[in-house]
Amino acid sequence: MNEQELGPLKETIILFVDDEPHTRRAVERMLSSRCKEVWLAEHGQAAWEIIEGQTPDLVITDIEMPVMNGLQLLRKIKETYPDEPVVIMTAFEDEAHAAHDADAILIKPVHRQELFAALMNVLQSRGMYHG
Amino acid sequence: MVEWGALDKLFDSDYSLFVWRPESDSSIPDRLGGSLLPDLQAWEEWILPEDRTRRKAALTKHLNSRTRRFKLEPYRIRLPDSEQTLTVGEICYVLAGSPEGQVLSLLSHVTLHSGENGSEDNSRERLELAARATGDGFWDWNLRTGEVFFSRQWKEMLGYSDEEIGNTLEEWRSRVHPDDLPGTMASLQNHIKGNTDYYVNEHRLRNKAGGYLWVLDRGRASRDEKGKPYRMVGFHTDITSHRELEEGLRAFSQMLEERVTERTLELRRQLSKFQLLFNGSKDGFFIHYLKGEGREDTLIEVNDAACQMLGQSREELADRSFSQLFQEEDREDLQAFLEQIKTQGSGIYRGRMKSTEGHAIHIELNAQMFQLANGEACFSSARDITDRLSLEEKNQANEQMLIQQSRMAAMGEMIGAIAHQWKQPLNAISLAAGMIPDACDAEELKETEDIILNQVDFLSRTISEFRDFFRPNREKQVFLACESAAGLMKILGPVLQREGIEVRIHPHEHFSVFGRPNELQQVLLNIVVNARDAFVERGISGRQVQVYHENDSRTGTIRILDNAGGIQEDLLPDRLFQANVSTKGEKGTGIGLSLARTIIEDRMGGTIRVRNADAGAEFTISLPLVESETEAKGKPMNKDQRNPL
Repeated sequence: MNEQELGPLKETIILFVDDEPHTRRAVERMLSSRCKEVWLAEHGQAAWEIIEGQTPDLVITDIEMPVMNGLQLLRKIKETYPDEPVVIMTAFEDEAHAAHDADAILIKPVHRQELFAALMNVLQSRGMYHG
Repeated sequence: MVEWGALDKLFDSDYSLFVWRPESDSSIPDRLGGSLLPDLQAWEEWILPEDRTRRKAALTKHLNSRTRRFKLEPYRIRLPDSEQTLTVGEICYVLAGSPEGQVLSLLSHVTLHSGENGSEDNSRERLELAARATGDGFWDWNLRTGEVFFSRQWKEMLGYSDEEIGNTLEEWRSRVHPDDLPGTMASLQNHIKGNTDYYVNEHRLRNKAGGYLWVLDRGRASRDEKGKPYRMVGFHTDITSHRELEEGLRAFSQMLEERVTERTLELRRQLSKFQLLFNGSKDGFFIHYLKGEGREDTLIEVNDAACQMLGQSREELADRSFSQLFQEEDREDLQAFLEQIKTQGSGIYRGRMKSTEGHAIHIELNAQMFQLANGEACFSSARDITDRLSLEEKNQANEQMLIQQSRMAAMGEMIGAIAHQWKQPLNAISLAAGMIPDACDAEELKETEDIILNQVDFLSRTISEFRDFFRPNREKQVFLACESAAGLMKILGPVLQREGIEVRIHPHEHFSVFGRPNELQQVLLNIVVNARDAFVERGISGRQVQVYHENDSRTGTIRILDNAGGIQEDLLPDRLFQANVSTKGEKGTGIGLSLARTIIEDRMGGTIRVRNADAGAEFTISLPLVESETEAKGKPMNKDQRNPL
């Protein structure tokens, strides 16, 4: 996949949820130049508060987090906004089955290209990505 | 020098007393009675030279034999400037309890040889007076008429009044004890016949009450120019108490002798029994002095086993220094131990003795101090523990291996935690690397580098924590107990969190204990993992494990409380700590908690207990607090100073 193909993300708002600040910073740096906006949250609860205010085009979330973890957040989103695309980042594949509602699952450590590819796939399948 | 008149006055009073000291200068320190006396030296000069020597010899003999009362043979004195000689009797009493053994001498005037004899009656009076002064009975026997005069005191001695006793020899003879009569009469006849100078005899006399007195009978016959006796005078001294005392003494000495014999036999029996025990023992016995006051720790006695143990004979070991029998490098410790024995009386020491070939013999020494007349000595029994030590070492190695194996098994539990711990930073690094292609300036690259290095640090730290936990056989050390729980949770926290288990560590008190930190962590791990398994199996929600740290002045307590529903009652309070008993039934190995007990009780000197609390199990680990440089940190601190773990 070519990184140029990410061009059409320019109209997309992405919410990234992770309790690890460096990870948040790295993702923000990679996506901010390619997306319309990148929002950040440190756990599920903070993310849910944002989503309730304004729904982003796509949510990327880690699983292990304090206060509200990624699976709880996923469930809440799917209950309230069934069409909202959610990408899960997890340390282990065996944890992934609990996240079968997710639109994509990324296994850590996540490479830049895996991340981009997953985003495109999800958006394409939702007809939100017009390549 | 005394005037003649004064001396005359002395002899007028029939008898005279003076007190003197045999071993001092010869002056007379004191006088009794009204008589005037010259000093002793002058007195001695008056005695005829031939009699003086005799008197002196008799005095010395009596005083040396410690006789308390004795009568000297009459001796003659010649007064200064006079041809007149007097025969004088002297009775001496050594005064009991007097300083320097003072002697009281009673002098009596026996005869005045001035060419004419003094009248019989006059001399009798004088003798009777003398006898009265000594408490003796006096008798005067006229051999021509057969008449015997018995003094009032003689009669009183037997319990009679003056009128009750007549003037015949029969009065006396009939009262002599039949057993003593033949000997007494023979002695008396012997003197009358002129075979002895004096008549002296001890016999029993019956008194009025029918009892018998022991008397000392002394007398002398006066003879005419042909040597035929015409008169005999004498004294009876009551020596009953003396004889009784003598009898008593004899019986007492006999009894003592019997007891000594008996005791000697007993001691001999004991000695042979002791020798049998001493030499029959398999332990080496060493009796030796303790070093000090210029004395070495010289051997006094050893037994056969000691000789055998060291491969040396008794002769070779004689007079050797006890500590020299030990390996050079152990001697200092041994000396310190023996010093301690002096104050504590006994003790146990482990060290190495040296065989003749120089081999080390591992021994356990049981030492007991005792006092000998010439100093402090010690009874040390040495047991060869080479076999026991190797067994102990083997057991210790087994235990060590088991603990290590169990820790490795825990690795299985932990591997998930390790992987998880590592995935997070790896993810951050991976994503940070993803920032590089977009970086347009040095600043952005720097930020990327910072993120990556930060995560590398984190990885490095976690791997150290893991290594600390798994590293075997670290030296025992003083450490803060609450750091054990905190360190463990750094590793285990994420795994437990993933399963919804919240572990809270309450470092209410910071106290120090002594042991291996990772072994205590292993105990905590076993307990927490058991709780985790119970939570999962029972599907309990709101999972919580609380770890409390509390202490008093001597003991630190770690309390681990969960809400996983508790332990089945038949495993409480003790069975679950036994090997091969598991809280998890078939699924458990039954090793974890039994090892936990080994670690806490055998290796750290504490206790571990368990009970069911309201919602789950409560484990209580008590450990002795340690005195050390970290002790200060162990003291309760106020809130602000507390380590925010």
